[in-house]
Amino acid sequence: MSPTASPASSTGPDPLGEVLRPHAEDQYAHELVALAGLDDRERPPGWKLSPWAVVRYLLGGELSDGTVVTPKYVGRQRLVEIAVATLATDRALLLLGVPGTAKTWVSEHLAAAISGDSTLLVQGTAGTTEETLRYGWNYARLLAEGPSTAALVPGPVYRGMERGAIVRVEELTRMPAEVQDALVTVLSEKVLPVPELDTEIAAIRGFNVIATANDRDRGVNDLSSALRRRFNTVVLPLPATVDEEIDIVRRRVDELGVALALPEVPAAADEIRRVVTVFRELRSGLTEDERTSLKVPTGTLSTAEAISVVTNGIALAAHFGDGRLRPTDVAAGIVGAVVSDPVHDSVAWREYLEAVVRDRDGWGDFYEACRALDS
Amino acid sequence: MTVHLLGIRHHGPGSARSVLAMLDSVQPDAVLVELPADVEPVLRWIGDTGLVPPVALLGYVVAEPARAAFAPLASFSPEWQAIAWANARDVTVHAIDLPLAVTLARSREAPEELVSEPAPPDPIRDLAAAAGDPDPERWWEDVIEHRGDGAPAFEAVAEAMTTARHGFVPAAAEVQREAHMRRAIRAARRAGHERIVVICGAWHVPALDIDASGALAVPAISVDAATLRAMPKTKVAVAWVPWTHERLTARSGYGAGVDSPGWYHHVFDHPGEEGVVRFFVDAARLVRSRGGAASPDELIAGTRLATTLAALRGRPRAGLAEVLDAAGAVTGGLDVVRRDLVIGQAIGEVPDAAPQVPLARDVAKLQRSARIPMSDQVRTVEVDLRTPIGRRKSHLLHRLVALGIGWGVEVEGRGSSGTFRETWEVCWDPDLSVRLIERAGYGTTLESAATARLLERAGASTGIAELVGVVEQALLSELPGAVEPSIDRLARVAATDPDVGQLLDAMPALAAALRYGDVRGTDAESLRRVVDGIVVRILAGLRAATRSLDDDAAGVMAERLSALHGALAVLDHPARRSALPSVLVELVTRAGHGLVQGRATRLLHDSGNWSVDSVQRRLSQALSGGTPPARGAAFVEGFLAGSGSVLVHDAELLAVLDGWVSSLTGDAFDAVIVLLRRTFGAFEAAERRQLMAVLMGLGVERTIGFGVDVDPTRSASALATVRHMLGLPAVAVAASAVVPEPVS
Repeated sequence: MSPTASPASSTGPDPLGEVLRPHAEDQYAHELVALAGLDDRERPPGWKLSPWAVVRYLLGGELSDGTVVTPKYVGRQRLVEIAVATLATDRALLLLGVPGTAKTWVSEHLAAAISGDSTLLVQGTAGTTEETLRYGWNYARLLAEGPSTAALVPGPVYRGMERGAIVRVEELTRMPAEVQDALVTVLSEKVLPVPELDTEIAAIRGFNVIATANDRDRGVNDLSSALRRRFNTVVLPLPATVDEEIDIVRRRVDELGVALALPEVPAAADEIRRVVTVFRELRSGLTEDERTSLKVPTGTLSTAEAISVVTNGIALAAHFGDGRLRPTDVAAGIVGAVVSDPVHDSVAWREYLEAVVRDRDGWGDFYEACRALDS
Repeated sequence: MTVHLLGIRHHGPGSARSVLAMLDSVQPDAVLVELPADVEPVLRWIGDTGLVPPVALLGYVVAEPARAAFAPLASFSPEWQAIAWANARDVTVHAIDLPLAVTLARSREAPEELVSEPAPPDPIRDLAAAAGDPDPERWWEDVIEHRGDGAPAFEAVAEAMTTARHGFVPAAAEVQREAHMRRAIRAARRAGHERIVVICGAWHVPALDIDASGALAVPAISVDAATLRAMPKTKVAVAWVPWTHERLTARSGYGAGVDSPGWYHHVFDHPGEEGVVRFFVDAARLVRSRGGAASPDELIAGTRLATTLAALRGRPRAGLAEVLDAAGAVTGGLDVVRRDLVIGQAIGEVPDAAPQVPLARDVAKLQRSARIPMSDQVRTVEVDLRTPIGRRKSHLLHRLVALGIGWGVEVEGRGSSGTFRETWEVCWDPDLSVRLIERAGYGTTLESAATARLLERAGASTGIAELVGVVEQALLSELPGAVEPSIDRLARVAATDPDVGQLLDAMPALAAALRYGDVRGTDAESLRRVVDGIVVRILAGLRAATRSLDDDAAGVMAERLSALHGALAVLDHPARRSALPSVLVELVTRAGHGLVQGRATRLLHDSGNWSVDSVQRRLSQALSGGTPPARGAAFVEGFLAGSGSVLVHDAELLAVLDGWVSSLTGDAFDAVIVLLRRTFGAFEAAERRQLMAVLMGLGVERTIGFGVDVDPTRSASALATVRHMLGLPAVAVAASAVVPEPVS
């Protein structure tokens, strides 16, 4: 069975491998196919897989026919179960968390697994209007022929309701409040009225909305309680243990390395551990052995940033170094991620460097590299 | 003559329902339960409307009530339901486990749990693992407890346990228990009962199957008789005590405990699908009562999410985990739900007629006659000691405090206070009834128990302050049996205790205690003697105690001197007349810390022992050039002691102080400014304003000190009011009015 191509996307399947970052349903098509074949549990109407299969897809594991499903989300199983169960009860899902906790990632994969299509996406910004959400007009046609269905340009929510697919809304809280509230009717009555044409679009079974929001930035419009009430909230936490975080970073770095066609860099494990340790210690304000307390920099220092630091380092090592990931390669990335506010963060970083890094065993060259960056 | 063995999980609602269904279908004429044989007589109370679960059966050794064992029962316990069923239909009920007389004869420790789940190895865990579920509790719940239809699975359980128990050799105590139970079943059979139902922990089912043969055969009658021969016994009494769901949780260390008794109670009352919906409704009501918001839409969403999660996880019904996950996702965080609904705040009740621990019965009787409300909300109770009911309330609350049971906490009364008034805040916590049981060893009535405990504390304490606390408590609780011995002990310890500081610290409390004695009419003659002795020792040791003190110690000593002065004033002690002043004079004249000297001078001034002249002389001595400025400042601090009114009224003193401050050189001033600021900063704002006015010379013409004449016009109206208050007939203002004494 050929992988399901997203009908709305202009790029079909990508045999030459030229697309920088394929959609989830294309990249993991073989896994989805295998799961669909083996899945004999009941599927909710409009779903491509049963809820159990969706959970399996996200958490990974080995199937009975030998296919290995890579884990997409490394964390508590219960959170994924709650998210999938929410979507099965046709209540909308809101994923909350600080930046870098895989909210967008999880939402993409959920949409790919449930509807086979993760492209019905609304990106929320301060300039998002209702037209982006619902539908727009082809003004030439509108003026020429008057209001008609042909003059309507459907938005993602319109298309999702028509087709019975999952619609993703990113950064819900960045949208102006008036635009957010346009979702209220859609979510409660599952109907999109088109007053200009005196019709409405009723959602087909299988339609649902996954929204993500992070509560840490400035300029965030809180959800009104009417809207909040229509979502079930799942809070995605930062990784609980060092090993979990290292696992996530390593896995993603490998995948990204393949995608970006980076040359193989062996034995990056030590450096990955170093990056994760630095990030965790600064994030929590406490060293791992809990003996020293540290100033906390203003940046988030999330897992996603750790991944990008390591990827950056690998690129440096591969192209400008000798092919082995060294402390110098990651030092610049770490300093860049930590010091976002020059006044406060540079103090925190310098204190960390002198108090913790200097005296640690085996971190001597890392210390030297960081000091070299300063001067 | 059939024997039905129903293996249950203690406190499992599904087991309870299954048992009831089985009883209804079998209609036995004898019900045997796994409870100690000597509690049988009190089992007839189960089903009585006054006995409200959760309650516990308490067995205690008559000679030593502190040695006890308890078996909790909740409304969803299978044993409870079975016995209630039997009692309602007049069916014989027997308790067949090893009697407490034997178990308690063995143990010498604190109250221990009687009923415990299958001893290791854990068969439920093995069975769950075989079924593919890593969580044994969840597996048992799914298979047995959450069966709302009540179709019994006892055959399957028996089979499973037989397999799990294969090859297991029980410990000696277990062997005895099972032998006893077998003997009781055989006896019931011999007594002619046709249909016998035995309700026991699932683990024991294979061992109690007296009809089994072959490889599964149980030990024969003779073997059992040999096991049960010659077991030491002790005299035991059994009582009902109220229990709480909180204490039923596994977290509180109870072996057969359950994690979520509130949830189980709920599941028992509302089995099936309805249970989930009702739980959300209850949770919403709880959240609303605490001021949160919970709309019906959230309830609907929560229920649907919970059932979907259950289906997703392959469970037949939504359990506690699913419900909590759903509640968390829909409303965002529910600690209050967890505590109140999952564990539950239920407290059981025991009727008066039921056998109780004697101390608990006595306290319940006193609580009723004192008419203090029993509730778990904090209430304020005002007690007027002049009335008999007030005294009863006060004694009850104080005696409970003496016993270590803090039902009421004494607080500062608002409004009118006085020696005849007390204000208490009472709040009943279910733990208190358990603590009452624990203290039952001290006596059978509250009076005797409180006395015994106070005597124990008096005997164990070595510090004066502690002993004074005990004496105070004994006087407040009106326990003459404890007062005399504690005073004796206090006298002895005071005689040997060389630390004047401790004696000084104890003085205010002793003075207060003596004062109670006067007000409440108790005879505290012996206490008075002890206090006299202590005062003598204090005065003797004061000189030595004030030698070479540093700043902090001097501050403490100055406060102690004030406290001593105050205490003696309260008692109007004869020492005030000469003994104390002479000691104070010595302190002032001898070399010592400025603070102490200043304070001593102030006390002499306040009590009138020194004239204003002498005080002025001493002050100027302290502030003259020969004394280092720091000492002078310390003297001032000790003298003024937080109240500047003496300066406002006495211009001479103020002049001395003023002269001294003006005479300081720049460096010396810098040295003392901090100390002086500290002293003057502690004055009232009004005093400082007055002081300022006086210093600026803006005051109206002032006499030096206090006037010796009476101003007839000014005092006329005041005198008339005073006469009216005292009920004296009004008279015209006489010129021979009494000269007002200097107000100290």
